Amino acid sequence: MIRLDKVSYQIETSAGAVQVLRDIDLELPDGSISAIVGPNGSGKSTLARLVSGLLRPTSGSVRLLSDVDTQTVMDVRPGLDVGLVFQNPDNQLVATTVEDDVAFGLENLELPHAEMVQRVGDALHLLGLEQFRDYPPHRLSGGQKQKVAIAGVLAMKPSFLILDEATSLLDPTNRREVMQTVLRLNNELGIGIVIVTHLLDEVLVASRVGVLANGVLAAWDSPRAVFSNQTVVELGGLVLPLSARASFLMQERWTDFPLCLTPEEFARATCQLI
Amino acid sequence: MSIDLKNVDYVYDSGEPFEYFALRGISLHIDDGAFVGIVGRTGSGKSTLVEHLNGLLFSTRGEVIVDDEIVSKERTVLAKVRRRVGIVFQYPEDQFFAETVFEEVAFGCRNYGFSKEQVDESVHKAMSTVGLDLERFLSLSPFQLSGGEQRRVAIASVIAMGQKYIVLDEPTAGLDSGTKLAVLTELEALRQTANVTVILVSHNMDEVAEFCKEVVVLDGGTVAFQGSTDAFFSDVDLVDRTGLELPESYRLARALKECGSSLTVNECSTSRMLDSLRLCVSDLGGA
Repeated sequence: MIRLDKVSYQIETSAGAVQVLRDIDLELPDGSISAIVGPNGSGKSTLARLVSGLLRPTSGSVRLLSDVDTQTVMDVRPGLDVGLVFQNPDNQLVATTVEDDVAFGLENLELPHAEMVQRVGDALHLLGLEQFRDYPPHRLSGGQKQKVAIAGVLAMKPSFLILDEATSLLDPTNRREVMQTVLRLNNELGIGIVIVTHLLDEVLVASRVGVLANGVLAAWDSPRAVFSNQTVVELGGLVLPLSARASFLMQERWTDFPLCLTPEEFARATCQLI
Repeated sequence: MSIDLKNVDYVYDSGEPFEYFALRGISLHIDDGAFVGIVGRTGSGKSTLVEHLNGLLFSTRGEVIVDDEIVSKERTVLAKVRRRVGIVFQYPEDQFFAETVFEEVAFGCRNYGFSKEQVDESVHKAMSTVGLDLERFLSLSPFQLSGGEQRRVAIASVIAMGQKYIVLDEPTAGLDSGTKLAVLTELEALRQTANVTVILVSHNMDEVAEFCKEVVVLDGGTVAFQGSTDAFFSDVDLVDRTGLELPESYRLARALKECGSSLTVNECSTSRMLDSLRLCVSDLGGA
């Protein structure tokens, strides 16, 4: 698992030091799915970079612990232990063909050629990109490019994958596809997933949701618990799903009406009632 | 006054082995003062289409007409068209260059020869439209801001120029839900008060249902649907075929109907849905 102990991060600006994150304690178990939400500027992307080892905390520690043997502790190696996928694929693609792009990170690992070919092939297959193998990445659409970026990260075989708003530029079909792929990777390969997002349906797949507000972790709980807590919802700049707002409407009349997070749940609950 | 496209084709690498029709036979009419959504799956031609609206791309065949002006490469025509149509790109923050937020937002206005007072006023208005406190951000470098703040500064820098048509290519990707709503609500206010036409490219069907009265649906570079947003989302097969999804409010109405709930609501946008649910609840309350 990845453990954050009292992690703080500060940057120097012309106006003085700015505390971006303060005293974050967090445990991300191997194979878990977590989501990080919060308003713009609350420190989500900074947290993602800290967890992935791209940034070092000003104070506190980000460590990788073996779930079996808690004595084995080491620093997160960027790119190797934790793969990070950003919002804008254009900033992440470097090579002239899709295949080379996926291989780019691997080339720095001095792997035997056969293994590289194997890993690139596997990654392309997992993302359904085989037919684009020889394409120049700039000719692909946004969604396809984002899949290439994810494939490049997966080829490194990280134990965690962080998606920093990685689907926010994709159309609904591609978004569902990418999310399904990510969930499959979690399910089949046991990769831990951290989803930094503003999108509700991505929050709902997580078992734990971290709500950041002004650089502080305001909540670390199940989606349902987070959405039930009005203070946390406001702090996190979250807009409740329609179904949840409709549930609150129902609760004005039927006080024991459950909090529903999807239309289907809401419909079932109303049918049982009236 | 309107924007019209007549039989527009756009072909990448025409005549070469990689020849690719990004747009094929597009005919469109966008009225003055409308709030139009442009939707479609990734690669359906949305970005290519909007780049035609102010002469960043020129159609391979067919005409693009902005307020009776046929868009062409001629300098005077282009200057006129670009003065009328402003585009906020997908990654607007990639284009930052100024040292301060104020300078960034003021840049376009200065280019159009606004007086100092006009520049000040436009920058102030634009910053408040996107919900940023100008005093706080004024002298910060745009590069220091968070992703969402950068996005808003970029939107402000286009709004500040006061163009008649504002085209936004996925402006809310990466904005938190509260800010997203706030920015779109302000754009709607701008439309009502200044008769600005808003053309919104979006993958977020909830916001399309909420704000766009009309929608243009692209599929494989052709227009699969143009008309009222309500009519589009009522056609589930078409929504599915074009790779899109129903807004949550439409799914809620359908789910209620399917399980035979006595709570019946019409398919409509989120805010209207909450209003009619409120009515239903008070009607049913006595039972």
